[in-house]
Amino acid sequence: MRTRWASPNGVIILSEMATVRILTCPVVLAALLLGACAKTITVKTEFPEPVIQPLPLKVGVYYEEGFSHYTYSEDLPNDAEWTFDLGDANTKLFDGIFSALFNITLPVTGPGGPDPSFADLDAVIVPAIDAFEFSLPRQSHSEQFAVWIRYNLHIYTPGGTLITSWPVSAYGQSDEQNFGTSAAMQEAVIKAMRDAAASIVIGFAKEPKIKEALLNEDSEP
Amino acid sequence: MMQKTMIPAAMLLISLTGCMTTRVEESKNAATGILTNERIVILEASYHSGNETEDKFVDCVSKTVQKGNRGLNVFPDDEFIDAMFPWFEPRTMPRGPEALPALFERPGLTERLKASGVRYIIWVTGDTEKSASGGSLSCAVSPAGGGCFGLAWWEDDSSYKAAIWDIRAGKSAGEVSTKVHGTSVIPAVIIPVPMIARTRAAACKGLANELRQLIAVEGPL
Repeated sequence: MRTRWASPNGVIILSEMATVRILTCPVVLAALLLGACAKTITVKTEFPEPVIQPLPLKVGVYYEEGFSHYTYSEDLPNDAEWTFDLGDANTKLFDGIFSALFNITLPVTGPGGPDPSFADLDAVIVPAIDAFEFSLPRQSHSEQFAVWIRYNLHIYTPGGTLITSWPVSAYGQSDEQNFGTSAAMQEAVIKAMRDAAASIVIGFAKEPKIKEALLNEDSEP
Repeated sequence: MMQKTMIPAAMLLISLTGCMTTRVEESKNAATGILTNERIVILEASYHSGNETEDKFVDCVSKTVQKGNRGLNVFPDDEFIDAMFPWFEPRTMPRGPEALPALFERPGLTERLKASGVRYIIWVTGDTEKSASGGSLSCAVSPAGGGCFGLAWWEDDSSYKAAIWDIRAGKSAGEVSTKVHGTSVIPAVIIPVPMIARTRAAACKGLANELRQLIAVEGPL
């Protein structure tokens, strides 16, 4: 029902408007409170192309669902629930790493096997995230948001036999002062991912089991 | 008219700055100098080695060193790191100038370095820390009005170093350092009057001026 009043200065006020204002306030308040209780970091960035001589290998790459849609959530006491979505960024990062690191890289549908599509490959790589951790400035008594990621590169023969699993630990940190909270955390994640890329690009050909199995080099230094 | 009003305002601002002592030192190892088409890049040393230099400080030095009639041309740090990816990531960056010649012989890096025009890499270390604090300041608000009473103070120490690597010579050209100690005070009798010692800004200015002097002005050893 719409009621009208005439104010002393002749302006007509609609009661419907007042009702809308009363209803809006709790909605806005609830949204603000929910915003304070949940933070979602969806990593969106472009990674630079690594400057490296590619290895003479033809490698199949298989991204499992848990990797290409990786999310991590943690509800911190006296803070927000933090959710990290690394899926798109993971595939972008590793597409870039592998295409720079190997002569030929192909997407495949599994970690090797009897299928003829695997036959002419030198190896199949299945990257995974084993662990994800983060810390806030108040936890570390610093001005830094920090992120740790432990990637694991599972490397298979074309036939599907595991050659080695190579764990790669990565760390990134970002100043609280330079960005807002969410932007600083996102920056820390990106730095950790770049750190992983640096370790993989530079360390791949030095990893003893990889040297021995794929590069036909003695694993002894 | 405008000048008359600005002079007291400027004097008030000067009088509201806290006390600071600044020490700037320089050591030069080799002849310097820079051509008009050459640039410098200013990078923060790795946090993997415990360095906590703030991004803000590096940005400040990069901006300040470009000012004046002997201002240096600065290549943006993020662009340089991306162009050299992954060789200047915190985990992989060269640890000494002697590593530069071999690094820049890598395929791809030489061309990118030439395209950047970068002649000197400046590595910044150090940070700003609160060294002491004390006093007490309390504020109250009532329906009749509000106000503050008391005195709070704190001391900040900004200590930074910049190591200058000459890429062309493949060795260290020198080092400049700055230490700024400042005491900030907020006395309050009804209205608080903050007198802030901006030690980080002073350190930035000191370091930038000294860098400009060492690279562009001094020339031969």
